[in-house]
Amino acid sequence: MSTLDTAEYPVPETTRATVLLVEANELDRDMLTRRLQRRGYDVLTALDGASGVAMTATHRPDIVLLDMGLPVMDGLEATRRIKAHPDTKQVPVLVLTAHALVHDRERAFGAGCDDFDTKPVEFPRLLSKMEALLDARR
Amino acid sequence: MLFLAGAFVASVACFVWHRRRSAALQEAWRAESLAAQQALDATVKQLATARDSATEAREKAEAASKAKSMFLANMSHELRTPLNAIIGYSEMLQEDAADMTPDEIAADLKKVTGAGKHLLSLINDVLDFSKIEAGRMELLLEPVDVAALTRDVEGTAAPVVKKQGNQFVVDIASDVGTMHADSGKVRQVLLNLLSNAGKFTTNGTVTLRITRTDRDGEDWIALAVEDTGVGMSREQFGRLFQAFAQADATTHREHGGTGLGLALCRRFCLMMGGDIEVESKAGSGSVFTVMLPARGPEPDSIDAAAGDEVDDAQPISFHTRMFQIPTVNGMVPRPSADSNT
Repeated sequence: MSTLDTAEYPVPETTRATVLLVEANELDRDMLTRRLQRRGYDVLTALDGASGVAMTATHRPDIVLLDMGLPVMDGLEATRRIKAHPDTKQVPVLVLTAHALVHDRERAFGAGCDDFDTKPVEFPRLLSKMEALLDARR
Repeated sequence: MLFLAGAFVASVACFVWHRRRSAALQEAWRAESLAAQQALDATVKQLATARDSATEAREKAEAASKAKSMFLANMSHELRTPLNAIIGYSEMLQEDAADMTPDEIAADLKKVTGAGKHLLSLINDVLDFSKIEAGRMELLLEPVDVAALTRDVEGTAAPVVKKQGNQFVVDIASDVGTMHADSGKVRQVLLNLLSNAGKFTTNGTVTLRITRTDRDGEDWIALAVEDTGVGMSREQFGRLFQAFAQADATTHREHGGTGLGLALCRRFCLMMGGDIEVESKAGSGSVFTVMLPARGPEPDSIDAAAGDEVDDAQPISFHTRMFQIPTVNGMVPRPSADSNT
């Protein structure tokens, strides 16, 4: 259905899963929510790191997509908290950020995230990473 | 007997002569070694000075290099952010346009345009800064209707200022009249300061206050952007106007920005014969006041402010003299101004 799919990143079959998108940037949030919903995901949103952590505990999403530069509590600290809590540590966390240096990637993995991807979003690549994490949990 | 006496006298004389000579030699030696010691001390002192200035130069170079790396990292982030919206929305429109109404499509295209314009402004900041560094920035001086310019800025800045639940108050004194300045630059400076005020204030008030004041017998236009936001610590304040720097490392992660905005604003103000005054207190908000001479800059101030001889690390000129302002009931006191709204 998409004209943008490349051989390099074939669009995976997406599944009915609940995604918690923690994103402060209004445009990114709107755009990603709509694109993910279009692929069949249920999307919950949080606007800052602290509510991201709280919603992970209360809503138990199948996966968390987390920006790094978030108000109240940044994405790294939010990742640490999600991974430190016995109730939420099994929820896969994918850090999605415009901080695209090697150093940023190391910091994200250092905080305990399960995967990392950069903005601008390469949508098929993001979907493959998400599906790989969701598959691993099944 | 006589011979023995003669030999004795001779040997005593010889002894005395030797003693005297060796005392003189010792004296000379002492003087020499003192001189050598002094020369050595002087050399050690010189070496120490040279070492200190080498250390200082190295520290400066390291700081500059660190600031530029940080700038590149921030710039990469800043460019990627609007690109994410541009690429994301346009891909989505290609996929979904068939199922969307023309109004929905137009609304999304508007977001793409907005992100594109934001990207352009970032690129323009970088170009402006390199123009200033190369001494190629030029002013377009003309009589400017201050109230009209302010109203125009108000219209453009309102959405950004009000974004985080802030009130936007614009207060223009009735006697502001005209000034001789580059209206494009003044506009750019005010938009930058207002956007910062909006960014660092939540559910508060941002005030743009324009007055005409007398300073040293000359008419000045004071354009103050006051906010009730997070304010600054003294350490953050020190880095405020340095190119490529931001208040601190976490500022960028939370608030974005390239670190060029304020450095550019200040250069523009210096070129127009004025400066920016800052009053702030952590937790109580900030006041950034652009002071510009109403009759325009002296020709030499334009040249002096261009080029790289301006030390951005030393923003506290006689204009940026105040740091903290006392607070009254937790509020930022406002400069008294005869004004009407």
